[in-house]
Amino acid sequence: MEDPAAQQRALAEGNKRVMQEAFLMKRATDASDTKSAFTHAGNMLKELKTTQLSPRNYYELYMKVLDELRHLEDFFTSQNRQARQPMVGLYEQAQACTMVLPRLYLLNTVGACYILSQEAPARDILKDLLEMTKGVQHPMRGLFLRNYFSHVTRDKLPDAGSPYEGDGGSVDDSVEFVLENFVEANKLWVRMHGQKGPSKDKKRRERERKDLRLLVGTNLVRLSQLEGVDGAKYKTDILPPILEQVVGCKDTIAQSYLMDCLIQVFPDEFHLASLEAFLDGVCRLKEKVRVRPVLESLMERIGNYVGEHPDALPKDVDAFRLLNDCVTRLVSERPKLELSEIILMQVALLQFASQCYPGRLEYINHCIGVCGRAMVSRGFEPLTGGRPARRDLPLECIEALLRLLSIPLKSLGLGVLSLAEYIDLLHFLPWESQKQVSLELLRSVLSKESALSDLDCVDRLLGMIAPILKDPPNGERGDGDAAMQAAQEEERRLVARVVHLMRNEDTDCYFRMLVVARRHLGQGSPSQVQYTLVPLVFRALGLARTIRAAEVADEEQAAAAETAAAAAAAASAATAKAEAEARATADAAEGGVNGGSGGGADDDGDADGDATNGGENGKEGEGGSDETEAAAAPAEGDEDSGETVAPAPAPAGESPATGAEGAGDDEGAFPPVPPAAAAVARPRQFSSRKVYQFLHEIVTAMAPLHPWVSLSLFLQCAIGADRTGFKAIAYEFFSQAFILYEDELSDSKAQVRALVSMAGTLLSCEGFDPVDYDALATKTAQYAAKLLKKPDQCRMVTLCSHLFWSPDEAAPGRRDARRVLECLQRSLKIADVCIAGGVNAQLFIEILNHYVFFFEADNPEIAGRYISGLVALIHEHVDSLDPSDARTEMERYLNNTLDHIRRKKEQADLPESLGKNFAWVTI
Amino acid sequence: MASRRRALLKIIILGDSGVGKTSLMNQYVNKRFSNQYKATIGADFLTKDTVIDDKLVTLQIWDTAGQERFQSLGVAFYRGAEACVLVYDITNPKSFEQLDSWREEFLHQAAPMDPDNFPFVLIGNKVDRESERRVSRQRALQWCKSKGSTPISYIETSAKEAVKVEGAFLEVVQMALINSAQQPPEIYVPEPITLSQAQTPYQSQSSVDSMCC
Repeated sequence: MEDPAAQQRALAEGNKRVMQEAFLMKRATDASDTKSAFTHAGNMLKELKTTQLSPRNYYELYMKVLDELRHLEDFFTSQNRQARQPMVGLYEQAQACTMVLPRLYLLNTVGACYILSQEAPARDILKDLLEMTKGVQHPMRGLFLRNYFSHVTRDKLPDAGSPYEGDGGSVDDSVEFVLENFVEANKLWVRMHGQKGPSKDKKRRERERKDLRLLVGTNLVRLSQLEGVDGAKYKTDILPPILEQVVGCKDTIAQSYLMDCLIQVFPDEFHLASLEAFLDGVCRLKEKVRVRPVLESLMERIGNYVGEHPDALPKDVDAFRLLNDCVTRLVSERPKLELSEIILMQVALLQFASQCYPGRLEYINHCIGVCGRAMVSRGFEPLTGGRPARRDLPLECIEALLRLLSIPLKSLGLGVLSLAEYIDLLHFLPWESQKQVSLELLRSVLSKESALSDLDCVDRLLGMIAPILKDPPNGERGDGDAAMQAAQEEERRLVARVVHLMRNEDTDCYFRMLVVARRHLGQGSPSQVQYTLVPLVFRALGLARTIRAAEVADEEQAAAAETAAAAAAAASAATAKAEAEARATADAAEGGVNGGSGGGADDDGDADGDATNGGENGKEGEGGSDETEAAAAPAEGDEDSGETVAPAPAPAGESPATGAEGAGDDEGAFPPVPPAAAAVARPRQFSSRKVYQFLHEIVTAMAPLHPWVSLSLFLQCAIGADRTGFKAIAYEFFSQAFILYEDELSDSKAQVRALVSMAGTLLSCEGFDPVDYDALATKTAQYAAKLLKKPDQCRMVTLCSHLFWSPDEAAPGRRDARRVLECLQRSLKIADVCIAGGVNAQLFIEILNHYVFFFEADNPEIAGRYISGLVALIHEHVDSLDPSDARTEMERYLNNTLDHIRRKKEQADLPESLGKNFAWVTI
Repeated sequence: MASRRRALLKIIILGDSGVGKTSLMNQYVNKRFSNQYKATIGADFLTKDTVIDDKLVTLQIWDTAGQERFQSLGVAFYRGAEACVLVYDITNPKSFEQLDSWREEFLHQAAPMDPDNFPFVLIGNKVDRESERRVSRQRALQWCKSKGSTPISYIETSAKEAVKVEGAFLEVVQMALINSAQQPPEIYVPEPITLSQAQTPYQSQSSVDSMCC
């Protein structure tokens, strides 16, 4: 019956009659009128004969009746206990009801009380009840009646420890009865499938039939509740007849549901004890039954259990093998099984293996391998070499593969890199999905926070995450919307963090890791490298520092030995030099030191003049040839001995530029790192100089695409080189930054930012020889003077004045009072030109502050009268402005400055005041 | 009603899958606990006779499937319950968060006469795993306070170690007794009977009906 309103009416009427009769029944029980109680109970039960109701509504009515029958049960029991009425009499009275269905309900009600009274063996009563229950063959009514049998006998089955055990029967009897009830219920249920009716109602009938499944499954619950059943009994007496019924009923719905029930209601130990039989049952299910969810829930259940109780796995059961055999059999016997289902079964198996057999990598490899072969057998192939897929993998297969690949990631992390088949399977996925797995791998690596110290591991890891680094093969990487950009940012951040995990005590190995990382990261899309290579640069700078510290320690040791030798032999400077050369040659012979580290190094070699090839050759063909090595190596020796050689203060961008370009081109294909020598206590293979060469190459390669980032990095490298005592290399890095400034930075804002960086970096470099410093400072000041916008020019020239007045009084060649004044005077001139909108007044005040600074810093060229004059000039300018916010602002700035000067003047009265000169300033 | 008859009370236990509903019931009724996990499908019940305030009471305690897929016939058995026990697992915050939906579902389906004062008891189970606790007592009490004018009673139990299980059910039964005394679940007024229309004895009543089944 379809009409819900009619259903509700029928249900309401049924309910009402049940209430009516229940009322009369309870009145009869209150009056201890057994006969009348039977009558009304029978009338109430008559309502269950209805054919009007859907299963759910019938269930509602049934529950109502059940609630009322509790009172009847209670009445019978008290009649028996208090009124000494024998149960057998009540049992016979119930049989007198002429209507079959009510009679059977009544018999079950009385029967339950009869068992409770123990006036007859439970076994006999149960047998009788079951026998009579067969009388109802209408599927729905029969199912509910059997459910009622199960309901009233719930706690009255003979069972281990129950009062009905012994004379009443044994647990085996109970097993038999419940199994019989189960089998009969299932038959009724399956029979509904064949029910005739209009085909338009088929869907509804199917749904209603599914609703009734609970009534069949309840019997399995009953079996699982028997205390007297253990794993062994389950295996021999319970599972086989159930499977026989399930397999034999040949009903798709029943098979899926009952297998699920079996898994859920029986405890894990039972499943482990009977795995083989259960799996055999799975294989014998109809082909239409979806076996994957069945196996999935079995494996999930056992896997969780064994995961928590590792000892639970029986020694004599190879669960993995059994499950794997079952899966293999299913795949071979069911050609229609979809690829995604096959993969998902492997997902479940893999999950199971990782829970039950942690550390058994061969199991993981096996599952992954099976999937790979299944893919191939269905005509899919890995996407290698950037080829697009011939046939798109169905979405559900992609999702299944992603799940499969993520399981070992969680348990093994980086360990997946050692799984031979893992990467192969990964390549079946489309690019985006490969990327997803790569990201998950990175997150897993990062979450473990363990250092990456194995060269091979770094190589494979970075190889695997290629989909993050590179553009997709079909070139579809739009910059996209904000969400996509955020995702990309996150990706780059992950890569950058992984780069920072790399470290190794062995500097040679560490360097090789950086080289390998550089190779992988460098293959990334041009837009990526500016994010991924930056952390690498900083790692390399750190490494250079570490190596340098070790080198200095070595050298000090050697120097101590030398001094001793020199004292003994009265060595001359020439001898020392010869020794230095000898050492360098020895280094070169070892093949590790590569002198082609850029123009700076070669300039040293050039000036030294004793290299085999000389500077010219070095400039033309660097790139790590052996000749230049020899040229560079003595330079190192020279630096060590403290000899300073002035490099040609070539206009930046000429000879170093050619040199750098040469280096960039030649080193694009970085020479493969020679394998590590296995010798114990082998000498250091890679010098700090070599690391700088590496840095030079990386930053140079980035430069054309990302000039601003590269410029900043060159400056960072310059500081690094300066701090580690490589003034020539630092000079070279500066030169490269200058070249970029000249050739690539056209935006004036970027130019200003770059100049600030360059001036700041230059000031903090301490090792330059005066001539070199002067060359770089002059160049910077020239750039400042050439800026496009006058105010920028003015401010930067002012800034550059500081380059000629080092805070360190003792710094050689870093204080030139005259040039400071020149800079300031020049900026005043420029400021004078900027008259628009009172900009010049603002600039004047700024310059004034610098004057005051230098005046305080005892710069002899900055006379007090300059300040007095400038203050007067500013007053004049400010006074000429119309009142405005800008003017107010300027006045405030000026007054603050003047206040400062006044304070200094007051302090000038004190004899020990540093600012005594201020007495001469008038404002 | 005759006083010799016992009070029959129906109590429903609700809560997420795996919080220990069946274990609580088994511990209370059979004094047994098993570590084996067996999912409940549909609904199941146990009965227990007990004496409260000199009154004989038969409890019918309904244990329900926490997983919805196992309730294929709906939850008609909620009807007629005198009290409802909500259970969550103190080590599982999700089971706590689900309490509202269990409570609402119960009130909706059972449709008691006075939903605001329907007796609920909240049980926080698994205190034997105190070290893994993830829902504080305070939070649970707060929840109890927020439900209606009279706060819901809250008891923390361990079905495994039989901690406070008896007490928790005693509380439930007392509340159920008060509830059933105050509001008889269904007031049925029989239709007036005319004296000429005597009740027919059932033996002779419906020979036609008995033809089927």
